[in-house]
Amino acid sequence: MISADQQPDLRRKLRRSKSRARLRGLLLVAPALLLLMVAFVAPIGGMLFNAVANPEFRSAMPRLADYVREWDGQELPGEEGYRLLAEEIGRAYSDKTLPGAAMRLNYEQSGLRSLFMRAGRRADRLEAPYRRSFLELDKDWGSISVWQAMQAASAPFTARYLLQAVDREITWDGEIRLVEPEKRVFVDRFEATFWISFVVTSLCALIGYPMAYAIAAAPPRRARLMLVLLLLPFWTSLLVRTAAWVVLLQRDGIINDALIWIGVVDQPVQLIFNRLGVYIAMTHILLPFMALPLYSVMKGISPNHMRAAASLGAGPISAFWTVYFPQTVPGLGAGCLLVYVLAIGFYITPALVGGSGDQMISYLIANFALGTANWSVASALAIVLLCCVAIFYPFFRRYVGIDRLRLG
Amino acid sequence: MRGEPSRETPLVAFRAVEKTYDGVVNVVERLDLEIERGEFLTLLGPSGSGKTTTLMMLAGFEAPTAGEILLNGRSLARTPPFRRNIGMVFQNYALFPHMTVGDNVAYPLRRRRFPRSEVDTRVRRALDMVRLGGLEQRFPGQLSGGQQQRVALARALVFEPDVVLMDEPLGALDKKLREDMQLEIRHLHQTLGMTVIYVTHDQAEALTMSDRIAVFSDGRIQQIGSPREVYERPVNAFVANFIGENNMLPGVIVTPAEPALSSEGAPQLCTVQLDDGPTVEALANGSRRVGERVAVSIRPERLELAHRPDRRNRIQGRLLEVIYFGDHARLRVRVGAIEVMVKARLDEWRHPECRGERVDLSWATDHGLVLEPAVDGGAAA
Repeated sequence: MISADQQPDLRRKLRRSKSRARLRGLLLVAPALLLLMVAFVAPIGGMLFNAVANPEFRSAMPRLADYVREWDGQELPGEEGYRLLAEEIGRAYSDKTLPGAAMRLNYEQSGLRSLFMRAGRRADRLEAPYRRSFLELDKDWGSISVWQAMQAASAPFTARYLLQAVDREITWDGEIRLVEPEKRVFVDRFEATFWISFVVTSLCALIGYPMAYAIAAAPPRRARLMLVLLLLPFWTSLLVRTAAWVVLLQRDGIINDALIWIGVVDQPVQLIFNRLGVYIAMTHILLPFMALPLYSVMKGISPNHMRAAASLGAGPISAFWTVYFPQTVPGLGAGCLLVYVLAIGFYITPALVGGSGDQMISYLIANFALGTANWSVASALAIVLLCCVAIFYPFFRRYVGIDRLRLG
Repeated sequence: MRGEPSRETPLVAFRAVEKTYDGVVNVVERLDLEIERGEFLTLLGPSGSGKTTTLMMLAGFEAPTAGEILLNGRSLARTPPFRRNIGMVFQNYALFPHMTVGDNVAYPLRRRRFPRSEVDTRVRRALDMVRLGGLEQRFPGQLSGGQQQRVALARALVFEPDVVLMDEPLGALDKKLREDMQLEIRHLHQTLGMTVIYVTHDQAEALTMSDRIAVFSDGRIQQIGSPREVYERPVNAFVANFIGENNMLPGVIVTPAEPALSSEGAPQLCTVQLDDGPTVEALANGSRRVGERVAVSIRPERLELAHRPDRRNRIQGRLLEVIYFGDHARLRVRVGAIEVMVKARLDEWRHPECRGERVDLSWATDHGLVLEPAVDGGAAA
């Protein structure tokens, strides 16, 4: 028995021993947390910021930026505005910050880049009255849209990249509308990305399910061999595996030769550089990610369950659907989620085995980030992609019960 | 359900059934076995003796290599497991973890397309029967081992199968719970009048529950009979050693049978010269030759400690050890070259332990059985 006055002491002891355990736990996960912060939270935060940041114009010409922020946007600014423009352009040109700002303005309205760069080169020759000198330089300086573009570029944050990522733009008076048909490239790519990922996930499920079942049902020795074979492709790089498919599927490749030899076709079939090639190569590469979680749950289902179902009067098909399949759903869900998410991020494989209409959104992201160095659009595309993926997670959690999955 | 066959047809019949997995060794050797309606038959034997294989062949999960199995007089050879109408309880329950208790029990009824109201009443009745009423909405994972076993039982009984097979159903439970469940299954069997074939390697379980016990070893039935028969009149050394504890005293036949006592089929009284002691009398099942090497089998609880000059069967030994068991004591006694185990009531053995002390042992004549000498010799644990 513990008397009443001893109890607080006991509680304190419990608290102390618990906090020690908690501290130990925290120390153990500290490296992982650190890695998560450095490799995950920080880049995503940076990406979020990049997608809406609007610093180029403001950092190059801060005083002009402040001026156009105040401007009412109804009619051209007076001489005061043009004087400020001349000073800021001249300074930005000598600071070498003008090209970045000119590039940024060019997103708002094409042609502004050369307009600004030309004015920058001649800034020392601009003199009062400034408005006239500008108009003499180029009559476009008299257009109100130039000033409106500057106003749009002067805000600290902008939605234009996110809107651009979904083929929308915002007009100067705040209306959101579709861009011109020839500029609508991203939604199309998003649709292709999701559709390709969906087809690949379905194919992986259709092939992976019986495959995982075969491994789970095989005697241990053969199951080990089959698992090694399943994992063997991981020993080579993604690029090599993709290139191998190019060799296999090309016009005079092994597959076409075999098809002609057995007489299924008499002309080589186009198997690659189209959607079919993308499906084949991606399904092959992603199949282990489907088969492994499925194998893991199937291994956990006692063979007695199927026997019990049979003894209770269920035929093989009925037993499968009522007893076996429901128990594999968490594994199937995990596999689908893995494959789908990985498939969405693919870009090397479609780039190598796909045609021009089969490129996925990651290809464009890479292109913007590395090719044209437009991190803003690349980030905006990445965020839209992230959001699209994120909305699947609650769905899987709710209907597939992914948290019921035990790995291993 | 099927039409009622004539009274004489056994419910289940194994006819010359054989089973081999590798084509070299028979796991089950020419099994002939008949099971009556309403009977509780236990297949008892060590692991690998063929008892589970026999059960699996009846359930339809294994096919016999030769012979046939009849249910209600009809061959089961072409009947798949799900059409056999045989209920089965598995060792690890095999409850479906993704279904509630209610759905588990309703499963066989839904497969048979019972109307919904009928399903509900039957499920409720079955769960009440195993004292789990009100737990329909729980999942198996939320129940204790004993409760899960009861659900499995309810599920195997709810569709009123012709036979209920139980494959070591209590193996995963602790001792106390196991003993409770043994009685519960026994009572269910008595009230419902169902036919049960029960597989176990636990001889105590077999003795408490069964109408008949079939003792398996090396793919053969060594003996089949009531619990009393197999315990008190084992036909060979294997059965004597496997069921209960047993002492085997090796010796040689002196007189094969006493003519006065020999009648048709009844055990005959022989005289045996023990290797390490006097001549004793014991019962023999078959005829024995003079000079044949045999062993006299005596249960430890049949050996008496007192010096009884009136008994014809007496041996002497030296005490090796006394083991206290609470309700009785066990004495290890060395008799010549062999060791004998004696179960003594506590009022029989009050002395302090005294190693090397001389002990007199005696037994009534009809508690000694003449069997062929055991190969491994000595008492089984």
